[in-house]
Amino acid sequence: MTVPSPTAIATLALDSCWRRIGVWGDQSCPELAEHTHCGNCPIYRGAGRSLLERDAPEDYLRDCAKALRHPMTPREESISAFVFRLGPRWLALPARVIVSVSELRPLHRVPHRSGKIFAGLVNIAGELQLAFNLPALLELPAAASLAVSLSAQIYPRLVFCRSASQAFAFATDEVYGPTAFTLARMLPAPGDGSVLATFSRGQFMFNRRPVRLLDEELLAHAVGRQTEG
Amino acid sequence: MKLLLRHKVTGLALISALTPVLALLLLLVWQERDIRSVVEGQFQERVRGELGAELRGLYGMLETANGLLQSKVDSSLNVAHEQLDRAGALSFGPETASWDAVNQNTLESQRLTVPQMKLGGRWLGQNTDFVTPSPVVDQVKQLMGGTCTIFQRINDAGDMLRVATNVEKLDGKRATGTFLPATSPVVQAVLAGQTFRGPAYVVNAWYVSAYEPLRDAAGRVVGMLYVGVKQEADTTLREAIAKTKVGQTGYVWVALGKNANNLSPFIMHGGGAPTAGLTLNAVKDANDGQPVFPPLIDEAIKTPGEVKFATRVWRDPKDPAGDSTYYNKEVAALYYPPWDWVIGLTAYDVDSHAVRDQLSREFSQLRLVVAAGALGILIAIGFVSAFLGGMIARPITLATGVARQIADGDLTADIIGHGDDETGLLLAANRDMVTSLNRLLGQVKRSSIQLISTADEISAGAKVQETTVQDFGASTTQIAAAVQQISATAQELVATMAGVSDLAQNAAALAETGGRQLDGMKGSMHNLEASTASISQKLSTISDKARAITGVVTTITKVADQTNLLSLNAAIEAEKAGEYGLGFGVVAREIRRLADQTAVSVLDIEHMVREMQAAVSAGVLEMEKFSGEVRSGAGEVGSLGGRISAILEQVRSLLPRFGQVKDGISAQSQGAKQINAAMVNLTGGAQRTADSLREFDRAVAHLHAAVEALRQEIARFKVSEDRSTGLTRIIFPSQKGPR
Amino acid sequence: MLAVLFNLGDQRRGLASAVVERVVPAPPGRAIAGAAVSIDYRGQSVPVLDLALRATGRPASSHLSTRIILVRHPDSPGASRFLGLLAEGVNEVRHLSAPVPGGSAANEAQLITLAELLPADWLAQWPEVEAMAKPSP
Repeated sequence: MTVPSPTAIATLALDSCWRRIGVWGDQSCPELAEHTHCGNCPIYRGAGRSLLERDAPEDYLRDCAKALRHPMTPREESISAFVFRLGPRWLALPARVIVSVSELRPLHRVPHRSGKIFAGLVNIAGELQLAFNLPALLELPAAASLAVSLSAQIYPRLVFCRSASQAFAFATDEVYGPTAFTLARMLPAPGDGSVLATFSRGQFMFNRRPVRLLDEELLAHAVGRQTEG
Repeated sequence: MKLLLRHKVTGLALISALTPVLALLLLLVWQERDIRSVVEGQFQERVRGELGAELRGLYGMLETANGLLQSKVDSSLNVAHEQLDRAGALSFGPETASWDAVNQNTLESQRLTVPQMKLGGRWLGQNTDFVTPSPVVDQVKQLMGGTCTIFQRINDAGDMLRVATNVEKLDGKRATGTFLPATSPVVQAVLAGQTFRGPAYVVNAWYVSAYEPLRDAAGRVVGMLYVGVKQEADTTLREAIAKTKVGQTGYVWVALGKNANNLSPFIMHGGGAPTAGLTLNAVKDANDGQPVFPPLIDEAIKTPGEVKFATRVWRDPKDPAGDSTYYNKEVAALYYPPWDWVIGLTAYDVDSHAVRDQLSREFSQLRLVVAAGALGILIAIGFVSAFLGGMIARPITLATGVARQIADGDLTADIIGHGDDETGLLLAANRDMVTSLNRLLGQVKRSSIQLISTADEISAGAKVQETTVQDFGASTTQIAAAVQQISATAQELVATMAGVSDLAQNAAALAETGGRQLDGMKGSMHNLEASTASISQKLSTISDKARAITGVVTTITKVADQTNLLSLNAAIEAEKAGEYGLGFGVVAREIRRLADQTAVSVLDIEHMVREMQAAVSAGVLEMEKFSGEVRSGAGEVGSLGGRISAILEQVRSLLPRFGQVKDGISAQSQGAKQINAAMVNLTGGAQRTADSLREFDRAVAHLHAAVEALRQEIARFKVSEDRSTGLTRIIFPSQKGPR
Repeated sequence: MLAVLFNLGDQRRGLASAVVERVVPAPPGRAIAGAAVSIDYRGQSVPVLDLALRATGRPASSHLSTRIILVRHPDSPGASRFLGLLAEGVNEVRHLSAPVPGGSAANEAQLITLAELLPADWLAQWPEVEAMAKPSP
């Protein structure tokens, strides 16, 4: 790949080969065979860059310098959490453990193994994965009140997670998606001694609703125990 | 026979007189018919009025009689009721009675057995003789004098048997044992629970009656109670009716209405009926043979209380030959329902005959008078018109005679006027005519003499002229030759001038066209100048726009710079983030691409703007150049136009001068031609004069001859002037002498 | 490795992005005030070295692509945390391979180390820089 010299580029810029023989012209340029689109071609890129070879206006540089002087606001540490709903409760898991979200699909129950918590096997991306009934695992009480959704359309989804120790899937009533929570603003989860409390790392306020952040490792561990014996 | 004027006049007068008379006669005849019918109508009306009044009087009488009888019936009924009450309750005993019941209509008898009818427990019996008293009925007769019957219902149909009655049969016995069949309207009414009131024919007389139902304790109709009072207890009523007088020959009659039998409904007719032997029913109309009375009676029945009239023709049927007079008769009828009587009156128009005859006589007299009068007038007019005709005809005859005289040649006739009317005017006109003719002829005579002398004089003069003319001819020939020469020279000059003039015209025309075209061109040049100015303006506008774009470009350049910077820093961060920054790196790459695209777009825009500006500059330059050329071109055109105009002016000024010269030469030429022509004329004229003089001689000779002929003609007329002027009269033998 | 490319004279060079903190626009007023000495970065005064001036004797151009490459400097008492390298043509990052002895292909940018760029006295202040600047395979 030849990199044209600055002068060559400058010449070509005047030539506007992309408009003449490129994708915006008659598409007869030989480079198209390699780059497919003028946007990928170094000549095009070079032409673009050549724009920057003109003098910078003083007022512009002054504005930039002024902006640079401001001390940076310390960035708050945040966590990217994947928010979903089980029954009336909004829960979250660190986004990095989420692998995929898909529509609910049929479970294959495993005889003598499928119980309240272990739901069975499910096909995700061609592989059989373990599926669990999360509300049962967390011992969530039955829905007493109507859930308040966050979206206009509510689609129950199957969420597939993979942590360091375990990969597992579980069904949800609604999925919101990933959102960033500032760790500093995390509230302690209500410690009422319930199973849910045990698995919660904390609680965020999201759209005026409390969202519990679950501990993914604890969850994975608990899930793994289910399948052991 | 020739119709002279006087005959015509007379005829006219007579016809004029005759026509109105005839018209009057016709009118009379026609009017007579009208008057007759009116009179007839009047007569009929009066007769009918009288008949109607009379009938109504009779009607009133009947009403009164009926009223009395009705009240009597009511009283009888009350008495009967009282007697019944007193007798006791009505019952039907277990015992029966056998009867030979006789149907009173058919007179058929049948045997039957019915329970005994009892009053107060006492059987009413089967009493037929008047010696034995019957309960109730005899008491009624005693007290009121009318008839009374108690009926018993003998079967379910409702036949009513007389079980106790005081009605006397023709054989002197009571009418007990007869029965009214259920079909009788009387029984029908009673069975329906109503009281029947009306006329009833009992045995042999009409009664005003009332039939009441008798009921048992249950309310069923078990019998009837009858009371009746004779309509005519005596003949007083009939006599009163019969006394009705209907003119001289009329009569009164009474017939039954619905209850009449077919033979004859008449129950009475008053005296004076011309056909005492015939039943009135058979009376027929003498004209059309239709029965007179039945239709009228039917009509009257249909309209009770309303008088109905019929007008019929009658002739004494006993008259064998049929020569007897036809009479009109007026019949009036009026129906009295309570007694079912139709009372009527018949009246004959005998009385009116006298009046009619009188009327006819009067008409005939009138006709005679008119005819006689007409004849008298006719004769009188005949004489008068004959006289007047003569008066008119005479002057005309006279005038005709005078005209004849004049035609023959005698103008000495004396015409005496006859007054101021048309004939007088005619004669006066004739007189004037004669006078004028006299004068005219006198004139002609004088002129003819003069004419001859003048002709001689002219003849002499003409001879002198002839010689002069011949001298004249020679000199004119000489002049003509000279003139020819002048003319020829002038022609040549004119031709030359014409040629020059034409050339000048052409030049002027060309110059004019050229000038117009130049003007056009100048105009276009100006337009062009204006257009170029506007184009220049537009170019400068474009230039301004291009500059504006450049300003925007600067802003976009800054954005491109920032974006590029962002993409660099993003890539750096992504690299630092390692595997975690993969996604971020993708974004960074995209941003970089975006920056490149933005930058390239800026370059493109700048390129285009530059080109545009270059084009504009080039355009502006071109426009300037072009504009300059246009201006100079316009200037040149202008100056050229000016030069052409000058030429045009000069040429134009030349033309009239040419014209003048040409005209002058032309005039000369013309003048020469004219002289020539005049000379020719003169020569010709001289020649002609000579010819005409010779002709003249001939003409004079003719004149002589003609005058002589005229004198001969005139001499024929005897003119009164001859006597007065004393001129010698030349008497020529004439065909006709004066009258 | 990813490198930030820039012009050094008429040569195209690349600095490993691992040492680059950020690229920022050039300071204003250089035409008047002459070569920039320092800039204010987030309240901190950062010294600026004009690489073009050092290489060619002429100050860096006033193009938009003339930018400052901020490189990190381990904290040491008396020295700033960052260093600004003012260079021309700072408009691209690219993955570059280690320089092969015998020269690389024509028009190919070459990796360069901080040590090669910085004057000796500057380098002396940063003993770890030298180690850091050594290109990693």
